[in-house]
Formats: sequence, C-alpha cells, structure tokens
Amino acid sequence: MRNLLFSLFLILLSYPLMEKAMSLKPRVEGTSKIYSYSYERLVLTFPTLKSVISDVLYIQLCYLTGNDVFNQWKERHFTEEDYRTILHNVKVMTKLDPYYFDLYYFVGSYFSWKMKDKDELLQEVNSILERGMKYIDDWRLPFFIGFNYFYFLGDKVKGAQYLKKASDMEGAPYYLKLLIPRLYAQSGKYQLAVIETAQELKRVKNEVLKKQLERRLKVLIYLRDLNFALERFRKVYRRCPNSLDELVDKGFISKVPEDPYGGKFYVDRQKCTVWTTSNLRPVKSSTPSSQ
Amino acid sequence: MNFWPVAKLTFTESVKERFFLGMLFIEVILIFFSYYLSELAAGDTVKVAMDFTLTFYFFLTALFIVMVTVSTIFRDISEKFIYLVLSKPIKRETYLLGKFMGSLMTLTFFLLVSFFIVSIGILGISHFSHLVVPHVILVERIFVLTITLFFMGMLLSSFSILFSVFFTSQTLATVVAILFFLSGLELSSVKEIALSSKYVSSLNKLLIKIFYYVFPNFSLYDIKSYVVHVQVILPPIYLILIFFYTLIYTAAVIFISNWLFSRRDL
Repeated sequence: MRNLLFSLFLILLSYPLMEKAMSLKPRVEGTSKIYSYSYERLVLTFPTLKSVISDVLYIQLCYLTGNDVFNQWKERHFTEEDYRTILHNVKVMTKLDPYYFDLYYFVGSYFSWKMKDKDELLQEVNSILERGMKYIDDWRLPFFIGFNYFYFLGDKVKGAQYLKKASDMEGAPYYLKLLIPRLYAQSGKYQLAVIETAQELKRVKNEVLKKQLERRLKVLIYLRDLNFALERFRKVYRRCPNSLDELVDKGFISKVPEDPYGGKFYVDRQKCTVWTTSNLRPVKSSTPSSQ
Repeated sequence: MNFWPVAKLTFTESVKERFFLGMLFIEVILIFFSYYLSELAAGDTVKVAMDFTLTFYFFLTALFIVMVTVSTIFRDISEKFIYLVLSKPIKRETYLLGKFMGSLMTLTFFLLVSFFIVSIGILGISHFSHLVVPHVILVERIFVLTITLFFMGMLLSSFSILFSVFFTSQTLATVVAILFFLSGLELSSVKEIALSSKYVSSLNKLLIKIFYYVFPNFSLYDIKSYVVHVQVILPPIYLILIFFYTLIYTAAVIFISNWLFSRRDL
C-alpha cells in the first residue's frame, strides 16, 4: 500500500515538470498552406485505405474551407492558386473513392461559386461531376453541371441538356422541368422548347405541374410563331421590325397575342428577337396566389 | 478426424486468452473513435464512420489471426506441450492441421462476435447522426464482408503456420507474417500503377508482375466499398471465386508447412 501511494506521489510530482516542459516546447503554429496530393503516392502508401484517405483529406478540406469562410486566417484568404490546388485534391479524392457523394456536392455547390469567373476551372469542375455521374445516380450531379453551363458559362443549350438529365432522375424537384424549356427559349431554340414542354406534358401526372406546363407551352408556341414571323419579316425587308405592331401592319401576323403569364411580347432590337416582359415567369399582379 | 482434439484444445486455449477479449475491447474503442472522427467531416458522417470502422475491422482481423496462429504454435514449443502431443499416436501433419483448424475455429468465433459489435456500432452511429438523407446501411453486406474476412483469415493463418514452422523466433514469425500480408495487399495497386506508367522500365514491370503472382493477393478480400456504398454491386460469382482461390492457396501452403515441419528438429 505504501509503495502504491509512493508511486502515485511520484506521478503527481511529474505533472509540474511536464507543464514546465510543455511551456518551453517550440510551438508549430497551424498553417493555412494547402498541400497538393498525388493519387499514385497515396495509393502506393495506403493501398487498402483509399476510402479512409479520401475521408481524411475531405475532413482537412472542410477544416481549411471553414477557416477561409469564417475568416480564421486573418492574414489571408484563399488565392486562385489555392483553389486550383483544392480542385486537384478533390480530383484525387474522387479517384480514391469515386462513390463519395459529398466531394461532388462540395465542388458543385461551393467551389463553382468561388471560381465563377474562371471558365477553365468551371470546365474542370464539370469534368469531375461528369465522372461522378458514372458512379452516383443522383440528380444533383447533372444539375450542378447544367447550372454551371447556363449560369456561369453562358451555354444555355448545354445547361438545358444536363438539366433534362437531372429532371428525369429520381428525387429531382418538379420545377427543373419548367426551367429546361425556358433555357431553350432564352437561347433561341423555340422549337426545341416547344417539343420538350409538349413531351413533358404527356408524361406529367401532377395536376399543378400540368397546368403550369400548359401555360408555358402556350407562351412558347406564341414565342416560336412570333419569332418565325420576325424572321420572315427580316428576309423580306432586310431589317429588324420596330415593334410587333409592324408585323401586324405588314400582314405577317394577324394580331399580337396576350402573354398568359401577364407580361407583354416585344421586339428586342439588340438581338432582333421577340421576347416577353414576363421572362416566362408569372407576373405578380397576374397571379392571385402571390398577391 | 485425428486432428480434432488438437483443434479443440487450440480453440479453447485461444478463446480463454486475454488477447481475445482485448481485441474485441479495442474494436469497441475504435468504433467510438470512428464516430468522433466522422463528426469532423461535413455531410455524410455515417459514410466516414463506416469507412473507419470497417478498416479497423479489416486490420484487426488480420492482426488477430496472425497473433493467434503464431502464438499457439510457439506456446506449445516453449511449454514443451508439443512433445506430449507428438508422443501420442498423432502425426506431425495431423498436429499442424489441428492447429490450423483450431485457429480457424477461434477466428470464426471472433468474427461472429465482431460482426455483432460492428453492426450494432454502425447502426448506433447512424442513429445518432441525424442526417437529413440517411445513409443506407445493409447489415447483410457487413455479413458478406465478414465472410470474406474469414477467407482472408484462412489464407493468412496458413501463412502464419508456415512462418511459425520456418522461423525459430515467435517475434520474427509474427513480423514476417504481417509484412507478408501488407505486401499481398499492396501488390495489386503497385502493379496497376506500374504497368500503366511510362516511367517504369520493362524489367521493373516484369519484376512487379512476378512478385504479384508469387505473393497471395490479399486485396481480393477488401470489399469495404461494397459495404459502404449501396450503389456498388458485387457479383455472387466473386465470392465463389475467392472461396476457391483461398481453398487452393491455403491447401498448397499447408502442404508446404507439413513438409517443412516433418523435417524440423524440435
């Protein structure tokens, strides 16, 4: 018993020594540097730990991004070079564990916004997401690609194509189906927008969505016909009409139809196309529910 | 069935060892550790926890079977128990087979208990994680992993016997068996990268290929991604193939061990 007490006393005695030594120990401050990882080296070092290494790198990425978002490194923020390294690392992580959804979600939902002006990096994000689509059956992956195309890269047709893929997948929100024809229409593909909406209308069973699609189809048909008339006018007079009334006056259309969304059709003289002030969305005063 | 008394004795002795309970205790601690680690990741924390838990399960099983097999043979030699057994009408081959079967019985018991611990651990982690979209956990897949771990243990146990017969030091036999296991795990990745690289010379590629076929392929038993990701499909023929691969390889190693053991001075 005496020996035991003496041992405990010795352990207690060691604590002040440990505390003193700790205070003198040279400190290595946490660094905000982002290291680039090599897939080959990681695989060779940890062959069966691929998914665990992917997890660890992702945890590190969350930590670094969190510090950047919440301004923990007062001296700096992520630079473009850092974002390039991060993207490279995410690519490595997705190679280590291609089924890890959160990695794709991170690049799709966060990284794209941070690099919205860098087309080259956005294309790389899309290639990562595209690769992810081979492994993960989730509507958000084609949605992110489509979103990047139409919102950041300005390619509405490609955007619509990927949104179409997303909207056909399980769990996709119904409004994606409404967004696709709008993107086609905004990029001047009226016929495609009409076909797309008409096909969707045949498939849809939800009554609310059916009504919305019917209204959109009506507007799209008007837009298609008005733009056809405008094209014929241009061929004849080799100029853009001043207004839709001119199309009526010259006999290209019988009258200017009313926009079911509550907006007004007009000639955008800069692009020389017909568009609507509603922008294919219900104008607030025309929708009783929104009043 | 002459090996049965030796197998039974090996089993009862191994299960009674503190090491057996210790490994299960470590497994429980590592599951808790996995849970706390997973909380550091944003998003699907259950996926991260499963990755860690199953990796610990995989390596603990390998470590367990090596330690049990090597120690059971060296204990018999150091405690002179082997002379008592071999003085009875039991052949050396039968004794070795008994040791192997006893180790497998211990492994089966260990894996069954581990399966319950790991399954309950993962389901518990999932319960406390409160994910908006819950991670799909298929317990039957954890069971399939347990079966493949049994196959892995079978092959590793045969190699542990071989090294125990070949080396006279228990530490050396254990270390070599573990290194051999790690090499067997690594080689398929090395081969995959080396063969597709233009920086590796043809001679080195050939050497890697030779090593790849000489060493047993332990990466076959690593089906963790199948357990973690519900999208990953494992064809049933895969299990049949690795079963026969294990059976053939194990039989070959046991035969070599018997041949060596019959020539060894005790």
